[in-house]
Amino acid sequence: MLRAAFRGELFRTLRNAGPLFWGYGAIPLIMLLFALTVEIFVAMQLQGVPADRPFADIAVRPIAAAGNPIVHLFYAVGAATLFAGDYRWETWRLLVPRSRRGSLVAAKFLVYLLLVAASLFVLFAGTIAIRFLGQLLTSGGGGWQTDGAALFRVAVAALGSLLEAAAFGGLVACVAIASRSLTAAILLPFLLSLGVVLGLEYLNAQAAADLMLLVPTHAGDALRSWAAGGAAAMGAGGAAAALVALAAWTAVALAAAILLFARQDLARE
Amino acid sequence: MQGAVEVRGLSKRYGAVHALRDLELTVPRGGVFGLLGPNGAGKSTLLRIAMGMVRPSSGDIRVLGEPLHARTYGRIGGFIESPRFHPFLTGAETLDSLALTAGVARRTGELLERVELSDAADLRVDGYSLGMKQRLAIAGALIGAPELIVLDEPLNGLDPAGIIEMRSLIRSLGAQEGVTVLFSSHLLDEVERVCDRIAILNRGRLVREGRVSDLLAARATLRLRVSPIEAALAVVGGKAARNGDHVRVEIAEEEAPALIAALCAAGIAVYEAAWERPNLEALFLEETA
Repeated sequence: MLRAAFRGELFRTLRNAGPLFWGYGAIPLIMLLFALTVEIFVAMQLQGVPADRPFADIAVRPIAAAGNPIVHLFYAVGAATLFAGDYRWETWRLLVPRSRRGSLVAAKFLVYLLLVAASLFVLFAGTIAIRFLGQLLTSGGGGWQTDGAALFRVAVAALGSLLEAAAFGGLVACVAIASRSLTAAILLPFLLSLGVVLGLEYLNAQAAADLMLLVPTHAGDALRSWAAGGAAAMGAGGAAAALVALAAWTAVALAAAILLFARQDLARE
Repeated sequence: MQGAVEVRGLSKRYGAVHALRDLELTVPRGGVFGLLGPNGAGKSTLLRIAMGMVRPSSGDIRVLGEPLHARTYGRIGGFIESPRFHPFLTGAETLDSLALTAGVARRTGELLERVELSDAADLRVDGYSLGMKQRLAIAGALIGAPELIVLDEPLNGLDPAGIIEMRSLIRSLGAQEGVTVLFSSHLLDEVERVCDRIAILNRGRLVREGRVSDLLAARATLRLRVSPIEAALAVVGGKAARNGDHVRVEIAEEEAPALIAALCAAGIAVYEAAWERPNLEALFLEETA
């Protein structure tokens, strides 16, 4: 039943061109265009200068988009269209008699997750490709420092970033179902995300590092720092804790959305 | 055999508003069952509960023999109130997406042909007229092989030719083996033509239920043109009432020959005797006034 609901939801979502572009396509497009511009500028300025950089450092930058509140605004457009669209168009009446409510919400969530993953992957692959081209132009193909452990850390950071975006999508789902409003489903999670990022700037996250891992944005940032191997990076135990925290937030948000929808009267949609 | 829909003590409250009050109703399997009632009678609430969109406040409802929480999806098709669709999809894509969601085989071409929308299959739904949307909604209701088809106001927005076609379609659905059509409409003349049985709701309660022919026959009166009228009234007694130049008698059909014989035996001239049967509109107004 979940598989069928997922196929139906994906079919509809892929045909809703506007939200599909603004929700998931605009971010890679804008960020890759920006990266390309920067790389061309750097290539022109640093002709022939070797630029060996750790691969992990390069690879983690694009996936950090998953924790950016501006990127969250775009993802909120995509997620809100999925979760609040059927209230806006009053089309729950078409779907609810055909599948379990839990399956319908979970299917929407999986479609969101798939499209966010695709969006992040395009951003990641595009950035790597642009940096590689830039490397060729500036240093004639200087190598990237990498090893198996670095690749593993990047993969873990990518998973954490996806979970961070997933938890945000779950939050959008909860707001969309509770408010039945597309606008609220976009704005409230975005403002919350922005508020958390600004709040973290004012807090001394290092002072209570373990506790701060409970904040998804901080957990995602910490994971990416760990993957990039920064000076203040935490250990593998901290990375595992951050990953668990993000997974827990995702599970709680999804479960809350399913529970809310399961108990909701659709006398009006 | 269990009914297609069995409702026992069903109530639904929206705050202070009682949409349904202790409703008892059985919709038998097979045929077309009409649900009538004025605005706010609780028809749409009952249909929304049957389709799993609204949870009852109390009471029990079984659809196709199963409680709602355990129902087999795909055995119910239909639409509630005005049809709504994802505006960015075409008619064909709408049916495809619903079939995918239900996990059943796509029969898009066949269904669009059945509701005569083949020519508009590739047009976006937001460009459809209301009548086209009604047809598409009915095509959507037929996705899979539903045993219960809920059609809430399916004739709204249709032109006369469309109503005739839709009436024929609904009748043919109701005639299929094992298929029950639960049909709600304010077009009482159409309900009378299409439905085998009806239930009339008023203020959340069932006020009348039964076969259309039985409900109307029970209210039939014998109209007599006789002379002298006073003598006829005396012979018939309390069952008769004068109505202008004729007498109306409330008796069962089988009592009519004996009554006419008695009038003739009393020397009363009987010029005309005819049964007058009220239509559904009269019954509806009487029950919901």
